[in-house]
Amino acid sequence: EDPRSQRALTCPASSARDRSAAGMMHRSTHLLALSAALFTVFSLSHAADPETCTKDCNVVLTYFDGAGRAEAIRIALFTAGIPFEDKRVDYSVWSASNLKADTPGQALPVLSVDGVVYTQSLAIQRWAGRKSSMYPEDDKLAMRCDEVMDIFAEVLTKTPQDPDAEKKAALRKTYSEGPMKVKMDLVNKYAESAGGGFLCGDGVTIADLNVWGAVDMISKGNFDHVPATYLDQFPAMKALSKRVEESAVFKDYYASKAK
Amino acid sequence: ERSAACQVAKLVCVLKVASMSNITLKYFDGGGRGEAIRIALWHGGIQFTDERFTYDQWKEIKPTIPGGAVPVLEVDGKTFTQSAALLRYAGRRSGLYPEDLVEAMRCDEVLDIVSEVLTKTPQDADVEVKKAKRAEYAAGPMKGKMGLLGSYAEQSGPDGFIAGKSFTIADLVLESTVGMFESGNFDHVASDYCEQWPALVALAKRIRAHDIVAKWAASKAK
Repeated sequence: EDPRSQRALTCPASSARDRSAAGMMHRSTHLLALSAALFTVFSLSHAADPETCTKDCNVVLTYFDGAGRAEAIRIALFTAGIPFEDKRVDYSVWSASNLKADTPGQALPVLSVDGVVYTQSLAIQRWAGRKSSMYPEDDKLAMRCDEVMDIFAEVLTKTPQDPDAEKKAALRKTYSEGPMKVKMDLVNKYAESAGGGFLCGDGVTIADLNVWGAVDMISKGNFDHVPATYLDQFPAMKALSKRVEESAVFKDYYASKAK
Repeated sequence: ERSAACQVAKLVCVLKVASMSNITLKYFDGGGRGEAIRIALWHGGIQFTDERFTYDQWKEIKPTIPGGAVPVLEVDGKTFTQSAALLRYAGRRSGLYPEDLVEAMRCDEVLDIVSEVLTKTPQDADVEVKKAKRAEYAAGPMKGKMGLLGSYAEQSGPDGFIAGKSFTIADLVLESTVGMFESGNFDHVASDYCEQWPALVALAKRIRAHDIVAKWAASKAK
């Protein structure tokens, strides 16, 4: 029997290498006898997104349909080979229904593992990071990783909001030139120390994914009243973000989404 | 004879210190976001310089601090910021951080919930505006988050702790938070605010009675 269809049934954790080997085996056996029909039906329904679980999923991530505070989680879960349901909630549903009130902590993302719900994106990122070897084992590197993640979370949380667009723009100008710049300067300094590498050791960690997330959001104009040119004063951060985009971790994840 | 023993003891002490990390914690002279770090380092027998300053001194010290906020931890010449990051480091080194990954996730989640509750607390120069905003906050978003902590306290049962079976840094932070309300240190929110979550209050009591916390309090009293 095709080991890959077995894997899809039982949803165990598997490595990226196992998946592609199984894929090759699968393609060649399916040319053979009668049982190929069974594989075909099965493979057609799963080939597009081998790691997305759609039913009775052990791991369910719920967030909006965007990168935001969940992309690093998605990338880490994929890298860990953990099949998960990537549940995306429409923002209109979130605000119009009881969904927000009924969600533990009244915010997204939330992660469900073995039926138990966990909140707080960074806590979830760290779990997924540990599962995918994208979280440092060394105490001081882990502390630096945590620090960078927390810096971005704090910057986002403290970002001024105002229903009046002009007031919001003014508040954000002060913010981005003041407290936010202090924090970005610090992360930029860490990025400089990384040389041509990553923040917390040899490989990409969730700390680097958080840098990428912030740079990506601002460069795409998704940080209201803070233009893409804001990043020009943090060249090391921009360079690090580019290195993340060129990494195997990043490329593999987005290649899997493109299928 | 005693002096020779003293010399040997001093030598051993110096050698011990020389082989350990050089750690300095910088924070205000008070609880807040620094106390749990102090307790964890102390519990782990980790030598550190506990550099404390007053709010008056802060103005001069602030420009020298990366990130512009404290606590910060200096370890072997490198500075680290963000209280939860420092606390996790201290917790890992002192056996107060879960080894089990989902328990660690819950521990992390609790730290972040508390941090978010504090960070989003409304501030306003106008006392009446601040009072009104905080009333809304306490009846709304904060209630949702504290209620979630209350549900975790319930789930942990009469002998458990907030992240699971073992005592962790999340418990230190939780007790400090409940204590803040109970001692009236959360402006414009009544000191009995947490009583709507009996399991939370009971857990805070249990944490205060825990060996680690009791011994820390006793050591400070000297």
